[in-house]
Amino acid sequence: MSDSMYKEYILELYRTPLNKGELDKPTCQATATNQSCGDTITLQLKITNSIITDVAFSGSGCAISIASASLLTELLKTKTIEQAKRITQDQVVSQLQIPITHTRRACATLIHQALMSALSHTP
Amino acid sequence: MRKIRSTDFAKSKECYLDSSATTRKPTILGASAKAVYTNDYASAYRGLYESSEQATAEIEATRGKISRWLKTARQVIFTPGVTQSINTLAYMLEPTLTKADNIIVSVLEHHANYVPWLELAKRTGAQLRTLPLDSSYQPINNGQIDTNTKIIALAHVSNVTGTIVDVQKLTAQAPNAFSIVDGSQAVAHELAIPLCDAYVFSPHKCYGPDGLGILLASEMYMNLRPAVFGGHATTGLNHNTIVFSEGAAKFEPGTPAITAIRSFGRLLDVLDPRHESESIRTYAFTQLQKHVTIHGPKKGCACISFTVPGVPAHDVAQILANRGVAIRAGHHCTIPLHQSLGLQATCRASFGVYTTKADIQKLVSGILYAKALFGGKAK
Repeated sequence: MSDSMYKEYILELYRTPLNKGELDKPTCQATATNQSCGDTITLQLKITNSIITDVAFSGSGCAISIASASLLTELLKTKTIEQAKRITQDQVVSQLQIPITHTRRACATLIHQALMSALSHTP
Repeated sequence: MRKIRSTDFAKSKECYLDSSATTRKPTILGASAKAVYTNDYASAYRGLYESSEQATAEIEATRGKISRWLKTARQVIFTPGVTQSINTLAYMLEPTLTKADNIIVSVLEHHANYVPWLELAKRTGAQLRTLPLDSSYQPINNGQIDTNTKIIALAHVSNVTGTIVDVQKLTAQAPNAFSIVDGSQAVAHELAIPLCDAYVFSPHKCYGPDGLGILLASEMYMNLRPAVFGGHATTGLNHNTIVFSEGAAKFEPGTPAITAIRSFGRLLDVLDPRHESESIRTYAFTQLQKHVTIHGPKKGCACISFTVPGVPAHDVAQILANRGVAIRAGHHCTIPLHQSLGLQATCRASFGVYTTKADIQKLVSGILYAKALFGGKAK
């Protein structure tokens, strides 16, 4: 097996993640943990008139979970709550554009788990 | 019976460094299981016909083989595995506990020897006390063991740090306690079995079959009331009064793991599945310590856990997997230990009788590549 999972853009997203940090007064937030490895990611959303106006994530994880969190948080900006709710796990995995094994799918979708949990807390 | 050796195994496509999870199997085990299924299979303890009588005789003979192999006079009880052994024991001990009592474990424990006791503490109001580690990763009694300690449950060898726990020293401080030692990681490594009321292990961690556990029971264990009930364990029902079977059968309700027991017995006819492993661990320790942070003592057995600066544990394991090197990453079912060490996840390399220095070199070169890749310096 090659290291096709570790493309340079994935490693770059791990080294310098997008939207990493914490929001001032988020509208909602949720934390997801991968039980098998301990990766923990907290997602925060700022929502104005049903539109996601700002997003950030914090926590720690492997290259795949951090790269996935970077890409999904980018995608979420300007999405409505309804549009965000329709984002599937498969979409999150496919935007990484790398082969994901069964076990690593949990890493790739950890941020999606946090998103669905956060959206369930929207007012 | 001769010592197990690497030539007893088929050639592996992988550099297999995950023997703490389960060992690879000698070819004789597969051949024995096939022979049982193909030629000799029958229910045990029930039939009067020849094949059933043979199954019963072979299962009973296997108890004797295990006793001789481990040089123990304790009662051999077959269980579905270590996790089941400990959970069942927790229910068996429940009537002996009060709110004033405490249960001692160490922070090294695998969840199988931690969660059942935590649950028991919650059910009974007894206190669960966790012994910390000293600087050499050895659990120490910091005054938590006292006269109200009614249960002490300790790993013989840690599945993370490879610490060989000084079990006897700790259990001796709890003379009123029922003592349980989890031998899962120890049994393949030629360690003397400590005195205790229940010593538990699973043969799949010492080159035997999965689906089977073994419990070496003291007299105190044998006098406990069982917690799981059914056929074979019960000889009579008189107006709903249960008459339990004598001996091990009292704790073995239901159809046993017939093929697993018989094939393990046949393996023991030929091989002693225990071996020295300190030398390969010492070699690995020396090779690894230059490049990674090791979380465990220099002297130990079975395994070494480590973190690689700059590379998350799962990515180390993935990159090694891509090179045919099988290690594990995660908390290894020891969240209390990882929390106490301030770690989220570690990588673990663990060793079997087939592990070679070349395997260790392959591990090290994979780690160096992972470091280079994540540091942006891979060629």
